[in-house]
Amino acid sequence: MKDTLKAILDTIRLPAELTQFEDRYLARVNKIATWFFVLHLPVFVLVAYLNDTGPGMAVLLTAAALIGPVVALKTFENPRNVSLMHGFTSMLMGGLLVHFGQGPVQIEMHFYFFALLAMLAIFANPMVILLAAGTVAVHHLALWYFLPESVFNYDAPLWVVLVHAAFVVLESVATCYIARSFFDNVIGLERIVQARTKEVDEKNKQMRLVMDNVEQGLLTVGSDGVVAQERSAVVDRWLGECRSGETFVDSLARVDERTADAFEAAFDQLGMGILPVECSIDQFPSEMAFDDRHFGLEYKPILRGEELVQLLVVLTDRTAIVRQEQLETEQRETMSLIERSREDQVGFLEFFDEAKVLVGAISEDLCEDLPLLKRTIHTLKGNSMLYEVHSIAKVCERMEDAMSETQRRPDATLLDELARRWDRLKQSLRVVLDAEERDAVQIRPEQYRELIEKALATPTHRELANMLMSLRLEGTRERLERVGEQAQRIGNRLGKRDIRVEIQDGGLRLEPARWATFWQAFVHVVRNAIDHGLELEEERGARGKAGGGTLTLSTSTEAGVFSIRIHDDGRGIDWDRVRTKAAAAGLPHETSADLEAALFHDGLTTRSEATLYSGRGVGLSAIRAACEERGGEVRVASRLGEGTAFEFRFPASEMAPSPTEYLAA
Amino acid sequence: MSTALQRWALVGGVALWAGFSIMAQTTLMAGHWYTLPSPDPGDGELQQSLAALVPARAEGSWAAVHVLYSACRCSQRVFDHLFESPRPDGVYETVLLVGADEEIERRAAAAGFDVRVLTPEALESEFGIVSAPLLLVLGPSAELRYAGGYTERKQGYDVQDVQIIETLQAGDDPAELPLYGCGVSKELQQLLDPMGLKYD
Repeated sequence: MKDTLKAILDTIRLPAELTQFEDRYLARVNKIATWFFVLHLPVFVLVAYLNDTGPGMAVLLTAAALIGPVVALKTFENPRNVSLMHGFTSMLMGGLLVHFGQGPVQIEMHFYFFALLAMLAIFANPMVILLAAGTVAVHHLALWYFLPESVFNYDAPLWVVLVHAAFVVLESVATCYIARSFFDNVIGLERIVQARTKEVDEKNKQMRLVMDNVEQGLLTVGSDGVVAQERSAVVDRWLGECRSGETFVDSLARVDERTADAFEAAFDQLGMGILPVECSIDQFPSEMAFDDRHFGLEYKPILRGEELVQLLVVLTDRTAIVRQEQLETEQRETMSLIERSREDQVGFLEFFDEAKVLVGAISEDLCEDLPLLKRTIHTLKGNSMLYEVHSIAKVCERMEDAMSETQRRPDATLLDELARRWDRLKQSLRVVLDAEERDAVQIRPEQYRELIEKALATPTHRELANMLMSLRLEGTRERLERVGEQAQRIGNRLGKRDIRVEIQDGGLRLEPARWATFWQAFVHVVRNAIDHGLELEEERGARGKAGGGTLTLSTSTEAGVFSIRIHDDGRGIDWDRVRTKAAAAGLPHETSADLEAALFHDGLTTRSEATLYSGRGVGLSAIRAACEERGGEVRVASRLGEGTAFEFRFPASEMAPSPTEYLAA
Repeated sequence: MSTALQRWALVGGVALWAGFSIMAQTTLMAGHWYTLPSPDPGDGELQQSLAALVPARAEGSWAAVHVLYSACRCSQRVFDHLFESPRPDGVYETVLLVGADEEIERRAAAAGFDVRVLTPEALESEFGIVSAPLLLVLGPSAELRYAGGYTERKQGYDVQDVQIIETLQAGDDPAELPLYGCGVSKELQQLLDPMGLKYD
């Protein structure tokens, strides 16, 4: 019995919690019900008019009956209470209809009560029906209390009254059941969904807890490119908060547009499914850097059959690793430079002094025009490569790429990066860059001995002065040997390992400071010779050439002319290609002299693609400028397939100042 | 006004409204469901008063007295029936009309009915009748043979006055139909309509 009673009460009473769906549903139904009752007013007035039962009274009483639902709709917070008000009002309206519809069909007007009781199921609340039925019961009881004869009229026996009541009870019970079923199966469906959603949310929370506590950012990208909501918290920290429906391309573009573009292209390719998935995955960007941080990107496609469903992206913060690598690289570079400075202090100091000037010119924006800036960056890159200062060379390379792309000066970030790296390098090398040591004239024991011997044998003071002057001069052999070593290092990196270097110095010596600029630019010609000129061993073999190639470096004087010559036995210059390129660039290209001039023109290159060493068309223009600065001229001789020779000719007086000039200076 | 006070005011207002509505409903329904009192056929004073209504020319014949109330919708239907349907032969019929109404009087005269207009107070004091519409049938000896309603249900289509008279004439006693309609006396009206919604 208790259980039955409890079951009945549980059926009648709805759970206290109101879901959003029920709230919205009842708000809508209550509104409709209010309008439904408001529309009773004209209908009741019409009924009263037709039955001569007082239209004025119909207006008054119907309006009075409407006060309840209208006030409830406007003021009640709980929509279920508004529904209860409608249940009560429906029975009031029934009573008014019976009154104003009195006449031959007055009995039929009672059907309104039964119809409305059934319609109340729409509120999905058994209490509404019970309240309506209760209203009728209270009404009858009041009537019975007031005028007993009015209820048991014309001597109707009790059983007739019970039959009357039974229909109301029967309908009320059935409608309560329908209302509750409606609530459980339709309105309550939302509740069930909410419960399930809560469970899923709980699981997601646990998953998020795991995801948020690993050092990697995990996220999935749908086939439409949209980032899934469930992702590691660090993803939002690193890339900025992802809005709902945002694509991963948009997220990446916030921090690094280049990576975003690369990802978009690769993602499109993956989506098209033209390439095997593994190949498509290889096209995705694997690293990116922004705000001085470095990230690794890994990808795992989630497939259904062969169809891409999602792409799992794993972001790893590699800043610490990269910084460690950078530090190690910089340390290696520093150690290598210190070693080089011991082996060849003059060469090293030249490199350093020039690099210092170049870095200053680049980072302080001293280059007047873009071509000059390009040459400066290219020279710095080349010199850095020769001295294996890769960190500087890489920054230069990125600057060149950026300038090729935008045709504008590099942005402040790159300039700042270059300046910072240079400062660190300078700091590391301060021991070997001590100013006093640098200015000291060093002399090897054998040179010292030779000098004493020559002084004893020297007939004049002038000759002795010249001999002392020569102590400050650098033998071209040392310089050419240094260049030769650089050439072999470049060759090694380019897979040209057996380059033979032949040096003929003619016993000449040059004033190092005076020729520093030239030798710096001379590096471009060396790089061109190795990169463009000398073929790979297989190619040479196919052309019947032996070995890895020969590079001949020589200095000589003849008839007051000092020459510096570089010759390679490589593939030679393709003059037809030079002609085509010159024509395309709008340069004269008719005569051999035109083609030679075009070869040294700023920005002209015969290469379709630049490498780390050459191919940007700025090297030869730089050497020509350096040559002309010393009052010299350039001659080039080349035959396709046989090799190329550059000769730089200067007045012999340019080689070094006389003792008098030195003292005057 | 504080929120709690507003809430109480709202609840109180709704309760008042609900109470008023139930009361209004109850009183309206009472008027419809209440079986009005009809006079006792054995009432001698009533018989005398009714017999006085029968003129000398109609003595010895059956007589029907229709007590109708001009302000009562139920009486209106009986009017329409009396004035528009064939009447039984050899029966004297008269109307006791409570409340003057020229149109009804004109129609009654045209249909061959005698009409006597009187006030509710006169109806109660002279005949002891407090409700309408009421059918009273007197036999040839002026004895009251029937006192009751016209229809089996309230304002039903089937007005049974002619059948009742014919049944009586055939020597049978028809069942008295319940009297549904309007209270005529002030006391009855106040009882049925304490809020004054139905009766003026």
